[in-house]
Amino acid sequence: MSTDQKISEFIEDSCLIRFGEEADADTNLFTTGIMDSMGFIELVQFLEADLNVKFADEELNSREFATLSGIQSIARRKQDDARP
Amino acid sequence: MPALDKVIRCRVCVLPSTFPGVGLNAEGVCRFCREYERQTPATDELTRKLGEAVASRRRDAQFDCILAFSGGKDSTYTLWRLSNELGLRCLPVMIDNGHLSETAVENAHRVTKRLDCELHIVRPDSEFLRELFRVSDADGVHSAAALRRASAICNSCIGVINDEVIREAVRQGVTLIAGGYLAGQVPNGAVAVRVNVDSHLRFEELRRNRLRSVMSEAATLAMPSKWTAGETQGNITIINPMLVWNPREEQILECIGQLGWKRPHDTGEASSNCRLNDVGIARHLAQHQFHPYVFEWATQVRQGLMEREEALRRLDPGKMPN
Repeated sequence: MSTDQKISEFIEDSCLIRFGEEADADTNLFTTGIMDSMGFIELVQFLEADLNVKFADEELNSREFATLSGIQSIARRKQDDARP
Repeated sequence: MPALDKVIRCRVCVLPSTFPGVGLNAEGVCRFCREYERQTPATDELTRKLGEAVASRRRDAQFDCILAFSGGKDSTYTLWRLSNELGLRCLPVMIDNGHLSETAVENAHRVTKRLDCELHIVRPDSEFLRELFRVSDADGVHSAAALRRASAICNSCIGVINDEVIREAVRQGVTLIAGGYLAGQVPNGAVAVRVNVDSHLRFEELRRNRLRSVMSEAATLAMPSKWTAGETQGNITIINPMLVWNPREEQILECIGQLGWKRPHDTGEASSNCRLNDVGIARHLAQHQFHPYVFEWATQVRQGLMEREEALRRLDPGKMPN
């Protein structure tokens, strides 16, 4: 499974939504109330453990980290940066 | 709503077919049980994380740790172990939601005195609290995911508690916050969670906006005041040591009984401090067709901390006292 798919599936399972139905890849997960602070903590834990990366506060607080497409982009960049 | 004794439940834990995302397979085993081994961090790893979080606390403040304290059994046990076993100078912060059992308040005073701790009680405006609990069930106030773990009323209270303890930590210059949350009440890996204060304030503003959209103007005006982060404080670590200690309930009761803690008789079986809890349970059952404690108790069954029969007994409201 690709990283993008893993992230999408994790958010769908933990937030009880389906992308393409209740939300799309550019829906702001926080302002819409789909993800709360506990969900955010779970998501960051999942990403850091599964992708073996650490996020900086600036990344977590960025506008980009509020949508599925943004989170996927950040995760891909982090993985690329981590490659030797 | 299906009769509770007719609900199909996971044959390993107790999650019902009505629980969102339960994923029961042909063998009658839920998704959470099937994924349990893979998703549960090793105890050694959790112990290491807890130790690192405690060791990296700021040490030049008056307190080592702010504890979200309810006067209930779990946070009382947490206070005892943090103070006695880890030697932390704790400031227990208790939120008076207007529905605390008198016995719970007496317990809080008695236990903190016994452990030589200050007790900080926060009393939000009663008009705000009344309205907060009234609108808890309104659409969009709490996420669907949050309502899998607790009732709407409990989630509303937890929102206030989280903000108040983080606010107090920032005010006191403390970088460590502890909760008495059990497995199932918080995610498995949440034994030590780094929280950026700016990030918390962002979520807090969203929470307040959701409440403002459904509350009366008077209650909105009576909301606890907004606060801002101090210039020097970026991150706080929230620890949930119960995820490492994993005591059984009888161990907790035996231990805190020695501190003079007494079980309240006016809180229902699922709570040991709040008289509103059973109202939240009843409303949640009617609205969502599953018990708001079922995820917590199913997790404890899965972890061997509670017998399945005991969880089933608790889930049948007909057998609950009072």
